[in-house]
Amino acid sequence: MKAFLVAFGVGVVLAGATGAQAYHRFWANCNYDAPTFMTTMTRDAAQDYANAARYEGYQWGGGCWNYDDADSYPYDAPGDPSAHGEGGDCSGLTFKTWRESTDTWRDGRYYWRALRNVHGPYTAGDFKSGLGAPNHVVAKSTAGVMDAFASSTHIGMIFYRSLYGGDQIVEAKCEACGTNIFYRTYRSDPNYGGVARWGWTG
Amino acid sequence: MRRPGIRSLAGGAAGIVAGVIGGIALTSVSAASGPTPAAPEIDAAHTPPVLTRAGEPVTLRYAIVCAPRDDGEPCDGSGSLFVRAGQSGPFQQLTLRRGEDSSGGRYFVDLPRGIASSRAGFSYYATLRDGASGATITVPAGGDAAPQRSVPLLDAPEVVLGAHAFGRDRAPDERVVAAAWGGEVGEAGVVGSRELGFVGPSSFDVAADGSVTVLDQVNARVQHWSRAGVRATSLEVSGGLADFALEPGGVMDVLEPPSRASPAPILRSFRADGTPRWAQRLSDRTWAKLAAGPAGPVVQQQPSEQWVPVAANGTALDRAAQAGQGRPGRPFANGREVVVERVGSGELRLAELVGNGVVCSWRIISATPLGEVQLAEPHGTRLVVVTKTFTDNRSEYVVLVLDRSGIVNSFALESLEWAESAPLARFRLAGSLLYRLGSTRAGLFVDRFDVEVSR
Amino acid sequence: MGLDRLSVTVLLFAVVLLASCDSGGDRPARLLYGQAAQEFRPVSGSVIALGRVLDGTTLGRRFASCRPSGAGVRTDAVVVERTGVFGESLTFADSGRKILYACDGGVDAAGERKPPWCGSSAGLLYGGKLLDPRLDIACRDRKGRPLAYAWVEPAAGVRWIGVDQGTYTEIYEALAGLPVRIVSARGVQPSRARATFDVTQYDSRGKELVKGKLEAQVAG
Repeated sequence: MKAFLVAFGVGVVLAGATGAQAYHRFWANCNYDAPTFMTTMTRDAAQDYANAARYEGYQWGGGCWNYDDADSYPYDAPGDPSAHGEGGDCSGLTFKTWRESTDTWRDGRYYWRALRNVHGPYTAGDFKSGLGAPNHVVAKSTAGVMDAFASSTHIGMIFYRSLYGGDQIVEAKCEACGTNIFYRTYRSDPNYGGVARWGWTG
Repeated sequence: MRRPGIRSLAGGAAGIVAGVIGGIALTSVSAASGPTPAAPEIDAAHTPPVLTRAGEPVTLRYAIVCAPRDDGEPCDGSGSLFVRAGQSGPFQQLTLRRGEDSSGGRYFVDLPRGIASSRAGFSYYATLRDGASGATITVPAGGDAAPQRSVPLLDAPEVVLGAHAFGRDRAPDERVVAAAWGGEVGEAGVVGSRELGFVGPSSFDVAADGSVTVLDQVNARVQHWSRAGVRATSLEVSGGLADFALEPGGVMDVLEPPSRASPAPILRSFRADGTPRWAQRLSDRTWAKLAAGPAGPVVQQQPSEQWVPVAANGTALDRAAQAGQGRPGRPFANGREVVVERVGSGELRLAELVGNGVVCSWRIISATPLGEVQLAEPHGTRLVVVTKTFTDNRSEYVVLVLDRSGIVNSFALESLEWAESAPLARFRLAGSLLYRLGSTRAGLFVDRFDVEVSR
Repeated sequence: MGLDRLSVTVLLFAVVLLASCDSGGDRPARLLYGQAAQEFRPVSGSVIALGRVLDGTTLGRRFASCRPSGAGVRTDAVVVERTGVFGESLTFADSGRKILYACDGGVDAAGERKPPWCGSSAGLLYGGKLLDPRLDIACRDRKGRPLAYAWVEPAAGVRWIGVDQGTYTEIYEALAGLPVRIVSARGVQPSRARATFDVTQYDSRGKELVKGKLEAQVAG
């Protein structure tokens, strides 16, 4: 009974926890280099960055990737936060694409290389509420290229608007889905709000 | 309410996720679609102005997307536009200019007035280049064989919707399917994950006899509801948010989304008994909607923003053949094509074409923002349209029945989507009957509405 | 022994004595808003964080300023309010029990949000349980220290959850059948968006049932 209670408590509560030492895996290839402070940040450069993360995988709480157009660990156990596989998660990809600081009070532009393992302090819900100096809420009807739609649990960036009124969304969607461009109707979904990054320069 | 089965939402969600998504991970792309592709060196985005108003200036904008630069700056891009007045004849070449702002596409050209205002419309394609790598891309991929086609909205009645009054939605005429969450026949599968939220049956279709087939991808099957009852047919599908279409003879097409194992979208075709026929990769990278066309399945794809046939007469078309037949509108058995363009935040343009000529057109203006167009299909001499209207906190579907003079009938439907489905797969039209796929915490349902009846 | 050396010796002795004082000496006497800090007797030197189960209407502006709009959260939703030594939180669910929400208290480092709420979290519920503790590191305490908030699912039989705060243990009561929102200023790594909590779970009589580290990562 005691063993069951221990296993039950640990199994439900832990995230990215005791298995971390055993796994590491792709994260062992990544670094913790300082970001490069930038004076410019254009929407199409952000498209380039997010687009390059396609095919690189998905990792809850991640992350980092290597531009080899493949998920290095495509068969990681889904839902296992300690797998430390390749790719970012939805909020991590947005954080890196939007060149944000790990300090919520900084709104400058910080360029993170792909292999730099960083998630940032924001969850999807934080983005949705515009938390942090670089982020702000925008009306969904006018949200544009490389703005984002965020729910309490997910965020995806607008790659481009589409003819039928939906959007091509670049997002790290899930372990099985990977990171890619998907057609979505988040714009009209009441669970989603519009969020944008301050400081685009073109 | 019946107690959910093993695949339904329960405390063992993690095991469910592992089982289903493990199936996704182990699914391989069939030989017909080739090996896993690499992400392209260059990509692009463009929203074509497929329906123009008289006198409206036209600026064509493109985003050129390349490998990220170490200095964090955008691509060193360039491009040429090949354009002509009308839908045939030689193209003239224009150079895309590079602008200061990329919010709508950095590379652009203002079309000469003579071309933009042609009564026969205009057609065009672009070749785009990344100066750093030398990689090029043609948009749409079919180039001069299947250029982007724009037609003018001549004599289009303007339908003004005004501000939408939420909360006046219509009750269904009949609930034709009601399925609790679970894995038994007659139940519908739902899977939950912290990333996806809750995913239920992603699409459905309606046969000529009114029977409803639901793609129950979580349970790797389709289920057919008819007056005789419900039966299930197993299907080898990935479990992702796929679109679905029924073809004559019971052939079933499943349009798979990209996944970590198969990053390019695939159309899978199955016989009525569920055995696979073939699988074919799409010509473009992204899809919005699958439909059964007169000659086979057609898919609305991006970045071309064209309806592209993926098979003809039962045989899959390779990517080049697909791209060479892209059209601006969805083809129908009556020889017509319906073209849709959502403009700005509250405008919807629609047209029915025969060949490249407009036979009917409409311009819908809404004070409340409009979202996606779920359906736009001819019904006799009328057009049935289903679109979303929304504010930041609410949304409803608006159903419009249009004839040449304007609105014949309209009503609103509550947006009930507790579980996620494919983006433009929530409605189907069979005759005058509109079917809607929805879900609540209790389960899945399909409701039916007679669009010829006002309530 | 000369006087100088005696003075130094006395001074050193006093330093050693003060440094070796037991945790009872560093145990906070007050909670965040000045309430007297109660002790959980089975855990020496502990502090019980106040926990109340109220409805949103009773909480008034405190809940209204936290409740997410358009999320299916009723204005009279059941809310668990917690007030500790340096942190405070609200935990509640939407009407369909699909998503669990929290508002976390402290100072917004970006200076955009008025007190008391500086951060929030949301987590999907599966059979009433979370799959992730939903770490929030957006808040600072009054001294500017980064705070980490997370949910802990009480194991079967658990009535109290203790979080090691270094010089004392902060005790939270499991309430309303909801996961318990805990807070700590120890083990917080803002640059890595992660935090480690030393958590012990107790039954109603204070017997330890589960003890271990909760390593949480900002994710999703």
